[in-house]
Amino acid sequence: MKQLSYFPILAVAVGVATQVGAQPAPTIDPGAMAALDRVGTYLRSLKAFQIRAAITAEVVLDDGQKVQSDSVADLLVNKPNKLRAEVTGDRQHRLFFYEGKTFTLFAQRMNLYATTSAPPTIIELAEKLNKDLDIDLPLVDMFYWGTPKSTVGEINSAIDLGPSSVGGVTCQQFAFRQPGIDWQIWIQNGDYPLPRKLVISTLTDEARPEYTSVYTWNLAPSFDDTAFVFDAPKDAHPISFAQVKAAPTSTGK
Amino acid sequence: MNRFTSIAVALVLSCTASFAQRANARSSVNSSPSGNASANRGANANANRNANANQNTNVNRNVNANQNVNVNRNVNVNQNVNVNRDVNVHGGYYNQGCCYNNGGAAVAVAAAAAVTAVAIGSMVHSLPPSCSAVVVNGTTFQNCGGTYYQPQFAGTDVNYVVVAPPK
Repeated sequence: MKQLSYFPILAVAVGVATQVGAQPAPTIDPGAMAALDRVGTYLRSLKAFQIRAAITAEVVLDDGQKVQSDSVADLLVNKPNKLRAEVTGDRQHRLFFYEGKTFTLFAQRMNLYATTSAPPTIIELAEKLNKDLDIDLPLVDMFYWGTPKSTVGEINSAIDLGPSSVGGVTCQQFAFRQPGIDWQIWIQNGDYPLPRKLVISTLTDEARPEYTSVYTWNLAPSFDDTAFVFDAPKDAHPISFAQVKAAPTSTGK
Repeated sequence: MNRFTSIAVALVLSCTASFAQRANARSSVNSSPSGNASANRGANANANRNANANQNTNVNRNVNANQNVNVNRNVNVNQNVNVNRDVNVHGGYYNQGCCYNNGGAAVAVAAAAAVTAVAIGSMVHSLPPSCSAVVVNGTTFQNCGGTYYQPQFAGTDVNYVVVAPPK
């Protein structure tokens, strides 16, 4: 009896070992790359949409211990130049408003906000926020995929992991590697190739913190343009954005 | 009163300590991380600490089960303090009309005393207790016992820079 159960386990172990051993030759599955292209093309074809993302992000403490931080991001988008986002986490609640001309960040609980002029498209806004203000626009990948600014060109390994269900939706799971990150995406099967889940492992810290995001989509949102306009409450206080210090990281601008 | 003050100081310090994080998970595939830990967080200085030695030892990854013993290590407790930070500030703000100080002389004396304690230009993630909002020329300040703090967004965090008393 013991013998019988022993052998299959051994076989599995050997199987895993061979897979791991096969690591040195990175493979790029053209099918996986094509699937990513399809996502990009489809996302670009969308005009207005709403996404709710359930996010778990790991934070590495100084001693290497990892802790999780959960949040929910709600995004309403009317391309190319209107966006509203609300990010609700345990420690932070923020609203993002962009109506095509200005960007406002609003800390509702503290009743503080700051406004700055904004470029004419969402993707340019994302770049400006990232570079100048140290702010990551929520779910920014949804605006990069399918554009020349996407980093798909950096991918050096792409594999198709087969069917996988996300919240009852049948998807195909893919895994990619590129400098600094390993990541996985679950793409909905069928005519609507939407990302349903994204996992990013950051390799630049040895603890490899992970970011997981599960998406719910609404492709026919109802809204009007006031949704994107920040209307400051009477008792709210305007403050400023701290500019990113150029010194430590940037290598020429 | 003195005792209360020292407790408050301790609280602020522990808040700062809770920011002792060295890395965040990247949240985007296409966009490289913005400032990440360094820009927003309080004095870290620990970045170099771990000397890479472990990196090769992938084998250790399985041992992580034992590391979980550390889970209780208070870190979460400190983070909750940050939650209070939002709330405290909130309270500070809305005591409507509280904040326009006419008692110039008294404030000036307090400021002179406080300047020695908190250097102008230094940055904190949370305010000491008992602050009141002051708006000068459209800019919002927090007057905390004569020390003036100017709130700002650093990334999406709110922090406070100690400034000279606004005129």
